[in-house]
Amino acid sequence: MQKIACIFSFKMSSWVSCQKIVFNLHKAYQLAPNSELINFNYSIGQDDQEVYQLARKISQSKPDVITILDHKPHPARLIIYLLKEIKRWTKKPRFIFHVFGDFTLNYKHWAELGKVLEGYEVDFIVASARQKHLIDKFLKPLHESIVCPFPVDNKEFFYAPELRKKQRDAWGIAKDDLAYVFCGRLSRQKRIHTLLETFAELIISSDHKAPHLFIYGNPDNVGDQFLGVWEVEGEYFRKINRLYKSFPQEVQEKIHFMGGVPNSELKAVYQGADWLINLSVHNDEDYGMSVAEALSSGLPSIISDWGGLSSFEIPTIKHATFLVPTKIGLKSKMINKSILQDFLKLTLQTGQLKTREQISKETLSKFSIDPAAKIISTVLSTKPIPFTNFSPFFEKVMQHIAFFQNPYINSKKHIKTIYREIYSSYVREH
Amino acid sequence: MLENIKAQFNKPRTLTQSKYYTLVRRDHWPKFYWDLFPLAQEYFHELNPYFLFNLYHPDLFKFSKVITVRDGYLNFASFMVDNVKTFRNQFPGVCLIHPDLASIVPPHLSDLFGTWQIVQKKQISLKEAKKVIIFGLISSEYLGELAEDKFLEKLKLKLDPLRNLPKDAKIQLFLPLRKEIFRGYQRDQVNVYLLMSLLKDILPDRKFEFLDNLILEETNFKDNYFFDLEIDKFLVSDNYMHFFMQSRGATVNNNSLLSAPKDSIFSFDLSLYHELHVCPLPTVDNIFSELFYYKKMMNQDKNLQYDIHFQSLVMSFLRT
Repeated sequence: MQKIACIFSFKMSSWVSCQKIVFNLHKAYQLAPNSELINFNYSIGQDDQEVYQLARKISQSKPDVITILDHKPHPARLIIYLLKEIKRWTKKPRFIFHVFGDFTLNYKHWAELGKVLEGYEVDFIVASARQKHLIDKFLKPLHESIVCPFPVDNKEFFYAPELRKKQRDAWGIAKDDLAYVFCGRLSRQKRIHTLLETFAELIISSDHKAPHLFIYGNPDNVGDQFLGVWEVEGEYFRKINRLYKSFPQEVQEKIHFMGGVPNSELKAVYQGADWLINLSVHNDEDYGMSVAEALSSGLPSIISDWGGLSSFEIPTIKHATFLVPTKIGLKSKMINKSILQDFLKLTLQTGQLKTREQISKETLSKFSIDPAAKIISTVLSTKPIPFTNFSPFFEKVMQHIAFFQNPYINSKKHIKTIYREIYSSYVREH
Repeated sequence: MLENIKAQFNKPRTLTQSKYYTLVRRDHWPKFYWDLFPLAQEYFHELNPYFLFNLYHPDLFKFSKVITVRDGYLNFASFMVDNVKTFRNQFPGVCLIHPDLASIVPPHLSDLFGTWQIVQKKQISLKEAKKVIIFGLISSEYLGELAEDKFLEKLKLKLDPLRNLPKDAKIQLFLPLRKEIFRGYQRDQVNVYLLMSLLKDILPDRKFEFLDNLILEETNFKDNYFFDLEIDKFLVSDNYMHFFMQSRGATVNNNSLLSAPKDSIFSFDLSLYHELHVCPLPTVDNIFSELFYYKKMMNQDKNLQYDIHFQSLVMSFLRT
């Protein structure tokens, strides 16, 4: 019997997808055979004394494995205290880190951990193949990360055609109208402006009955700080609102801003819609929980070929997924708009797919809790080699960050090589 | 006025725009600005929302054709009294203020002023709220002098509608502690006890959850009611917390209108949920001459906002 200390924040994350990821990962651990889980709350707002006491509690529980399921707060502070507590143990515990998209925001903390974890058994589990490519650059050759997709709860998201009519009635659209949806934060790096522009062109140029676009979510002010785009509150909303208002009336009537809704309402949204569209080129896009949930519900998807989103490609079912090519341009990450437009036109011609049940089954077979539990069980039953700190490339990035205020762009705001060296993993030609 | 507003809106250039962010030396702002957190956080729209007390250099006045003024009674009164002689030359544009500040505008400058009003077409009542967030800076400047019975009674009256909250509605408290920002003493501890005792009387047997600044990372407040305890607009007239909550779907007890005001001359969306409307300056009893007379009599050069007599004068007119 392995005793596993599960460390996560009992407070809700402001990133809705992260709340669910932690919850579902925990369910996957519950399915691991011969394991006893003990949960520990590590949250933002805990002071040093509280974190120290937490480290003592974890140490007193004598775990065989310590797994970090959450992304906030960074585990460095806790683990440094913990290692002081367990340094005299003869059988050292093993550490498993579920790495989120924000790894590249926290180099300093990871560097602290790199030193203190030398000699320990450490696993880095990532959510997608592209994320693995990126994280492996920071690990030494023999110490590769392991892919375990963030799981979808198949009791929550599955093919449920009985919800479709009600949702479409709520939207006020006819049976044969095409409905596209976006669900997520309305954020610059999620390219909502590109989505609006392209969709407006599609409506204007379409010979078909014009489709509807339903946009779920509220704006944020994350901007694209690595590339020198800082935003204050309200700025991105005003950008997309001005764009929307510049469209002709007939276009505006087809684009519906639905605002934020509780995650539970999205079940019906995915059933009512005909296509999900997500053009994110976010630096943190290691996965894409909304895409995983939509496809698990049987919703075909048009997604950017960027980061973890690419892992959702279903080549075995015709038109189930369209991957829009992306690249890192001179000043920003770019989406191939002409191919996107072609895809959208093709979906108009294709109409409503009859393969939704198949799409749901195919997705759940890879991205639900059971397959995640199998991967975790395999990880738990194998022995990793001792950790020997991060790679020389990690050091190089650290030095760059230490010396430059804007490490990823030059004075002309052109993207520097160091950014390409890191994020080239997120594009197809990596 | 409308031409200036349209010109500004169509070619926006504002002090909070990210591309001009580094133009402003925030270390030149008065220190009290930082004490106003989270009421005074910066945000953007094309009509340049800004605090007049942060315009530390004449060029900043001329940066935009429009300023949407965010200052409260105290700082707006102090600013107008200090700058009345140079205002027309210094600021060749339009100043949009909250209607509650209209009585402070010098009559001979009224052609330079309009007002802003918030419209939120879909609002919920407290009875419909799934969650109520009770907010207030724990300072007398924000809540009123709770040590005085009349202010305590006033707050009690304000809190009274909370008795009708549905039993399953969650109650959260976000009550940042602050010193008295413009006074030389601190009474926050007394205030927090008085407030908590009132809340327990009005909401007996209810569970309170205490919030911290992490609330500012949330993106969805649909079906939430933001219950602000501010007694008036003494500290700020445009409260960031209201903007933040309304732009994420919450209803705020800030008298936002349900439909466009009849005299609206210009409007635009501030978020998916609320709009800003520009209206003419209302005709109200003007108190500017009394404020100006005080400055002249006292022969004060600057920092009127720290003068407790000036504060009392402003409050005597505006804090009812």
